[in-house]
Amino acid sequence: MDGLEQYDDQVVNPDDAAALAEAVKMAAAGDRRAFEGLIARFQGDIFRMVYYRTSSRMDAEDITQEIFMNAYRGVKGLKDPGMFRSWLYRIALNAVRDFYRKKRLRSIFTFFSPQHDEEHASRDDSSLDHLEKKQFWDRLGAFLSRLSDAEKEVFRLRFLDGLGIKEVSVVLGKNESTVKTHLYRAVDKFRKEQELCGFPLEESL
Amino acid sequence: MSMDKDHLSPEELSLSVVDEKGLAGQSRDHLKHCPVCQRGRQELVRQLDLVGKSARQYAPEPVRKIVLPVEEEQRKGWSLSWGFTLKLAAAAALLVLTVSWLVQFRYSPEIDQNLIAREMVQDEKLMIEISMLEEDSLPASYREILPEGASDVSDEDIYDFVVPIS
Repeated sequence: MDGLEQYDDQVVNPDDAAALAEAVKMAAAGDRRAFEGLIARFQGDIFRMVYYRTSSRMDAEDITQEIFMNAYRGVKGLKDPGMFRSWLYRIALNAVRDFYRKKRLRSIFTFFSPQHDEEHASRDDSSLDHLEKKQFWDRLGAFLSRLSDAEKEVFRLRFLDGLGIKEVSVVLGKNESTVKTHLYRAVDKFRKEQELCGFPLEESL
Repeated sequence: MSMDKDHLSPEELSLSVVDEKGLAGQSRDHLKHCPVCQRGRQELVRQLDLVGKSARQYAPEPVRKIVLPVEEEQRKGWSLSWGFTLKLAAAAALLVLTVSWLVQFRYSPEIDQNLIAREMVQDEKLMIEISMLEEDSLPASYREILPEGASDVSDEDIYDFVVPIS
């Protein structure tokens, strides 16, 4: 199977895209229930997207709420319903950036920056699950730390969030060839350094 | 030329995962027919796919329900009462201004000073009359009946003269 097609399958398929566009149109016309349907569909994805970037469940919950509030207020102005997903991820990315800006500002006024909000492994997990999760997030963190900011973001959007290249370019406001260049560098680093960072993972899913 | 020589370089394999059309025509053709390169590419794709799946598996699920703002109808209701409140406030402000202007006009310091000056003059006249009465409490008509040259006659003498004590 072709790998690119495999990834593109994760992008909304045409049938869903048509239904999605219809729901977005209704939401844009002021249909609250239609927007609640969009929330039901995207809340998990957006929450995870934020969680991948904040490593904090509580922050991810707060930011996800803020993202959907902003989307609800702005959906009337969305000209192309087919762009809803990219538009939503763009709002999400801006919300995450805003979160880090505020956090940096707060850290100026505090003597120490709390590191204990890295809570990838929940306390409820059994020790084995806890260890597996911790190992995974440590490996991913170690790999991502070797990428530039642009490579990191493109890699996350493409392989963690499952967006297509066109969608990534819309979310980041960059042209597709720039996105491909950053993505190629990130993938090539992954190929070279995956073992160094503890990958390949064992497939137990 | 051996098949090995034509195999895609590791960098080309990375590129093929991102953008297969970005490969040179010869390399693209080779990838289509070479099972070794296809396996190499598939393995890289599998690893990347596994990273995404693991992230999804190890991330928590959201538990909080998204709360949307109040309905437009309710907002409209609020905006109406806000409009009404605004009008009421404007009317109250106008009333306060009018009343204060009237008060200012009626009881201006200038008017107050005139009034006080008039009252002072009247008070002074009254005090003069009181002083005169203290000195001579008899009406002037009684003085007219006194004989000429009796200017230093006291009030008691006049009373005796008018109403003799028997």
